[in-house]
Amino acid sequence: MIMQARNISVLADDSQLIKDIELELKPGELTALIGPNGAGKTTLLRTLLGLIQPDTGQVTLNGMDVQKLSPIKRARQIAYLPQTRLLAWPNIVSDVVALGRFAFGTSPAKLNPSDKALIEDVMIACDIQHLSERRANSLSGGELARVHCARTFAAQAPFLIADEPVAALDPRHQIRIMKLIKNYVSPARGALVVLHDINLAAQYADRLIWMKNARIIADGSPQDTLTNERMADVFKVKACINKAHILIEDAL
Amino acid sequence: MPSALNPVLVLTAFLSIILACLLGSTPLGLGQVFAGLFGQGSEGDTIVITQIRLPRALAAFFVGAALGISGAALQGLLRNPLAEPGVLGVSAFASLSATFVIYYGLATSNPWLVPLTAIAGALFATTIIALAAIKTRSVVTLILIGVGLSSFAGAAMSLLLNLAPNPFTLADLINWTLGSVANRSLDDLTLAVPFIGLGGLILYLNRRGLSALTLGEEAASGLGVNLKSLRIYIVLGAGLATGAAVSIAGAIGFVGIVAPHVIRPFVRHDPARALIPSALLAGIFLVLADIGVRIAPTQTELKLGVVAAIIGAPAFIFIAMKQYDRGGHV
Repeated sequence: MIMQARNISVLADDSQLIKDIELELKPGELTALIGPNGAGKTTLLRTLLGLIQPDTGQVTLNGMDVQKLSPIKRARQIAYLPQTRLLAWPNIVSDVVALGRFAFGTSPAKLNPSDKALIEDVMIACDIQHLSERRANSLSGGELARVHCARTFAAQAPFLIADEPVAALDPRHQIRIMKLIKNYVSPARGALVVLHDINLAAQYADRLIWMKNARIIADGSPQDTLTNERMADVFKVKACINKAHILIEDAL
Repeated sequence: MPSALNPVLVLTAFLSIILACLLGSTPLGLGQVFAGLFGQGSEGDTIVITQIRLPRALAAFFVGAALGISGAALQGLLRNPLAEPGVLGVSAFASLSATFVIYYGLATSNPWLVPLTAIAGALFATTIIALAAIKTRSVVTLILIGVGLSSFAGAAMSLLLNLAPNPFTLADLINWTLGSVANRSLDDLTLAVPFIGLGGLILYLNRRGLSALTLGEEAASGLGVNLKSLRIYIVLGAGLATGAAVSIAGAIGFVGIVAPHVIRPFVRHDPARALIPSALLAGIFLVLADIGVRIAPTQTELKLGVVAAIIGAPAFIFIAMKQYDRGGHV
C-alpha cells in the first residue's frame, strides 16, 4: 500500500493553500508534518484524504486516484483523526469507538463478534476499557483524546492521518498518545501526524516533513532535517538543538 | 433495555389506539369496539368505530410518528436537540402551501394535490435549512432561520385569512392552521400514509450516517459518510413525512422535539437508534393528546395542535435551557 501525491496544488480565492506538493507515504513509518500556523498542513491532509479536490495534480492510493474511490473504500484504507473532537451527543464510549468500524458496515447498535473483539482490543490498547460504558461528555480531555485514538485505530486501516492529536493535552497525555500512534505503526501500517511540538516530533517520528508557505521545503529523518537554520527559516525562532532535544530560546 | 424498548412502545401504541376507540362522547365497551372493528357489532357502533374513532386515532398516530421520526432525523443531521419540523418552519411551509391549494379551491380537482403540495412546501423549507446548515455551525443561526421561515409562512397565511372571501372559507382555513385530526376519513389517510411510510423508510435506511455525524462532519467524512447524499436523503425523508403529516392534520408543533428528547437516554444517545422509538412515542403522544381533546368537557372541541403547543412549547424552553446549561455548542 503506497500513498502518493503528485504535484498537487490547492487554491482558495487568490491564495495558494498548498503548492506543487510531491509526497510518498509508505507503511512502517511514523511521519510528522510540521510547520507554522497557516502553512497548509491541514489542507494537505484533507487533500490526501480526498476530502478536497486538488486544482492540479493527483493523490493516489496504490495507483488509484483517491477522488475516484468511494468514501467507504477510501475510509477502509485511511483512518482520519481530525482536529475537532467535540461530540454532538453524550454518547457512550464503546459506541464512539465502534463508529471507527463504520466503513465495514458496522453500526454501534449491531456489532458482530469479530468487531466486538476488535473494539475490546483497541480499548485495552488505549487504556480506556474501564471507561467503556461512560458517557463521552463526562471524560477528561486526556481520556477523550484516547477514545478518539481508539476509534481511529478500530478501522485497522493501512494509513492513519491525524491532525494535531496532542493539541491541548498535558505533557503526560501527549506522550501517551504519541506512544499509542507509534505502536499503531507496523510494517503494514503507517501514520502521518501534524505536530506543533518539535520535541515530540523529533522524539517519535521516523520522518519529518517541513512545510512553509504552502510548500514542502524539507523531507527526511529528524537527524538530517532538524537544524538551527531550518528552525529559524520555518518557525522564525532561535533554537538550540542537542541531538533530539530542542530548546527554543526566542522568537525571531 | 433498548431491545425491549420497541416492543413495549408498539404494544403501548396498540393499546392507546384501542383506548381511543373506547373513549368519547358515548363510551363504548371493549366488546363493542372489537365487534365494530370486525363488522360484527350494531350498525351505529360500527360507524362510530370505523368511520370516526379509528380513522381519527390512526391519523393522530401516523402524524405523530411522521413528526417524531423527522424530528429525530433532523436532530441527528443538524446535531442539535432543538431541531424539529415545527421549530424550523418546515410544518409552517407545508401548511402554507396546502392552504393555498385549498384556498383556491384546487383541492377538489385532484385528491392528491393537498398532500403533494404540502410535501413540496416541506421540502422547500427543509432544503433551505439544510443549505444554511452547510454554511453555519451555529445552532442559534439555524433556529433563527427557522423562526424566519415560520414567520414568513405565518404572514402569508394571515394574508390568505385576511383575503378570505367568506366566513366559511375563513373557518376552514383557521381549522387547518390550528392543527387537528377531527373528521379524518380512512380515505384521507390512504392519500398521506404512503408518503409518511416512504419518508420514514428513507430516514431509516440512512440512519448509520446520522450515528457517524455524532463525531462532526469532518470526522464523519473520514469514516466514509457521503455527506452530500446523506443531507439530500434526510431532507427528502423528513420533507416527505412532515409534508404528508401536515396534509392530514395541519401544523402540529413540538412533538418532534419532545419524543426524541425522552427517547435518547434509552438508546445511548445514538441518533440512529432513536429514530423508530421516537416515531412510536410521538405517535402515542398524539393519540393520547387527541383522546384528551375529545373527552375534555369544553363547549367547543379543543384543537390538537393547540394542546400540543401548550404542552410542547414549555418543554422546548426547558430543553433549550438545559442545552445551554451543559455548555451546549452554540
